[in-house]
Amino acid sequence: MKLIKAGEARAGLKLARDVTDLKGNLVVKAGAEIDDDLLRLFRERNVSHLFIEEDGTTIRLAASADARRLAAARDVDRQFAGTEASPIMAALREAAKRYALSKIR
Amino acid sequence: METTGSVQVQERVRRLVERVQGLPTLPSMLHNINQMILNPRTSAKEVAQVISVDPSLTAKVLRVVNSSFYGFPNRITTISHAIVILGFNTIKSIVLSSTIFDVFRKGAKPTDFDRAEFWKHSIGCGSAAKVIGRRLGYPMLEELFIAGLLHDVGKIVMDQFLPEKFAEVLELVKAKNLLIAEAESQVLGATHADIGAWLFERWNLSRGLIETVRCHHNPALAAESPKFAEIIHVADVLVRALRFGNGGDSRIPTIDPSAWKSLGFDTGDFDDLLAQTGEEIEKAVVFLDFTK
Repeated sequence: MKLIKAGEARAGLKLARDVTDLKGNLVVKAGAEIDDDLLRLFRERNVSHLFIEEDGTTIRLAASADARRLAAARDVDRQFAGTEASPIMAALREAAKRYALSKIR
Repeated sequence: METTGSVQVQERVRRLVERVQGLPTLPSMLHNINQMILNPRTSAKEVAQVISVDPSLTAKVLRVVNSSFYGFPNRITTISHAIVILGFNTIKSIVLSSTIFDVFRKGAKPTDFDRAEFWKHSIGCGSAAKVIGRRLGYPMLEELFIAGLLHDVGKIVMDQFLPEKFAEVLELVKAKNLLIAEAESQVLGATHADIGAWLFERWNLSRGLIETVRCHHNPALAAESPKFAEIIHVADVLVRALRFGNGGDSRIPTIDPSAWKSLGFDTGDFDDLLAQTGEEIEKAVVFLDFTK
């Protein structure tokens, strides 16, 4: 599951959670596939963000899972550069990697 | 106790911001609610009447109250009902966060600072603070969420009211891969933590919140509510490790070992803390609607 801005949503992506408007009214249920009508509805109802399934069209077209795992691990290492002297941060870095990798299917 | 160094920084912040025109004042709605809540005779109905004057605020409060952030099984349809169920302080926290988003949305001009990512980081920090607080049996989770949500407010002040200096800060962050607080110190001689605390002092917000904002990068300096500052310090690092949102830099600061020890965690707790923060963030995304 991934959180994206409604403005970045594209037809073909699948909703991972129910979408509600600013008043909390249900706009569309989880599991629906986004199409042009839904994109228009999101704009009309001022929906700002959506949770989408990570195995949606966009993600399927992206790099392979292995490549993404490698990239995610490298990103974490880059982010933690300079903290190597701290054992606490070393443990957090490894936990952050495990977390990032667990999100990649 | 204020050291000579901290007095010098506060003086620099004062000189920096007193030249700025149009800095926001505490919204009168919030001021009124603060005053009412201080009066023990104030009823839920009276506070509800003040909030209900603003339909947009009313809708936002009800939206949060009915979201999975609180997870009530039945729908709450009135502010007075919400106050009875959640209490004055929780409603005040929701109003505070909502009005602060509003204050800084007005007059905002496009800059290189990505506010959507900034607010995601802030909401993430609030969520992480709540997770830490819950694990520690801390009684005021709501206050922790709000402190996390607002810990970096000084960055928004700089982006909106000192845009040229802040652009210089962001350039330096990028060019030298610095933490944003390091770049701010080099460019301004003060950090977003100092500026945020200064704003909240002007707004007469609680001393605990002011100190937490000022000390979230250096919790050892906190004297009033050190635990609060330690929690926000660790929460800030946790949400960066989760890579949810971005506060303006791409490196991660080191957790203060004394703060870590004081909170009583073990490094084996990180997996749970990250997973629980991820779940808490999902409940808190309702606050992203406020940033629109």
